Amino acid sequence: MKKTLLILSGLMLLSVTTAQAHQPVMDMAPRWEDGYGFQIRHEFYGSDTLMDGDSEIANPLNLERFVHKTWLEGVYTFDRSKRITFKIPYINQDRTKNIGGAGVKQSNEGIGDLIVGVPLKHYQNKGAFTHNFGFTPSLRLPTGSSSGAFPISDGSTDLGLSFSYSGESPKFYSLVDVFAWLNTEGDRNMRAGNTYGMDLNLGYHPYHDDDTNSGLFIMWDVTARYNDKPSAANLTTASGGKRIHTGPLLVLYKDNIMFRTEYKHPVYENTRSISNSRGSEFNIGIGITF
Amino acid sequence: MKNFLATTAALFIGAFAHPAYADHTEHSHDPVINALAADNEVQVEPGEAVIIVHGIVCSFCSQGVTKKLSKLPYIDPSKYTKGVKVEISDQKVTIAIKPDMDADFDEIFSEIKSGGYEPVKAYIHTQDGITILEPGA
Repeated sequence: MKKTLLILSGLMLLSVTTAQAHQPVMDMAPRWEDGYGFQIRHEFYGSDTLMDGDSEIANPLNLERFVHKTWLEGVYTFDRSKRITFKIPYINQDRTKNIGGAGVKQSNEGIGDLIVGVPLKHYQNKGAFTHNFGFTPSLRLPTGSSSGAFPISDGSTDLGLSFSYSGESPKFYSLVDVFAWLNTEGDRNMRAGNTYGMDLNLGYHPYHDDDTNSGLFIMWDVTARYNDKPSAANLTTASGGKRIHTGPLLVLYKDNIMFRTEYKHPVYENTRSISNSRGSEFNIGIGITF
Repeated sequence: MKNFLATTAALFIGAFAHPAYADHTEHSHDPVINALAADNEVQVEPGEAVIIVHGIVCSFCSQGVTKKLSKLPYIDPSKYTKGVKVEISDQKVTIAIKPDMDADFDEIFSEIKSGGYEPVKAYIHTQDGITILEPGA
């Protein structure tokens, strides 16, 4: 653990491993006892498309919303069945909002909410196949600011629960994860609302070189989300609703370093009220494990 | 962050315990088995051992096993990657052993287990030919 603290303090800027959309850590690593890793990942989404339900509508005020999040993520593995993870974002968000019939630009930036997770996994290794069932309770702590007209956080402490299954062979990878974020009320009566979701990943491993332990991994990701309606219109997720995003993911790796890039396109969106589309999502990250 | 790590570490202080690995192995001197090992299943070079490990399917698997085995004092780091070669398509781990030292295969099996994987069988090149060891047999 001392080693973890030293490396953590020294490598905050270099930081690791990756992640499913809602979990801080790549499903695969580190599996070894006393393993740890970090990742820096940049996420971008946003749109100037205005939605009412599942229909695109006219946008005469040029309403828009764009969000950049840079995540610092980390993991420590006690043994392959017990890990602890954290992730915390730096958020930069801009929008044009309809206030009194006029488009008003708003922006905010700062550190967002810290998420701590405890992935518990049951592994089985059978020949050239390894698979696991996972259960991950998580806490989202209100480290982000809830002040201003366009707050970073609703200021609440929230509980996340996730159930997952993943299997992997030298050529193929699959993951199914269902989860819920149960939100409590935060500051100024703000409540972002519960989120329920499912992630499906199907991966193919076309190239690996044993001598250099390097290669390429490609994956297709399907993300489905159901958000309750927030209690306050000033929150980033202003309307709640349902959405499905899907797209490819590419991972390049060499030894303990991994580079990841991802694009997801919205194939279905249904907002609970007039709101901007979430738009396409982009992710890029680099991680390292020890 | 230190407080966070310290608190979470305290919560999980009881979680460090993991099942002890079976602390014995069985040496197979069956000439039929040895011949099978030598001729059909694996090729083992002098001064090396080949271990079949279930569940090794990815680069991170390779990294975990290499990390655990390369720290052992009798592994020869001058060969392969720190003395270890992992072939994920065959679930094979080849280790180079220092010429003047004996490898402790109970320890090797235990380290592979702590790396997250299941050692199944080790083929060791000895003066008498190929010897097979199995964990927990």
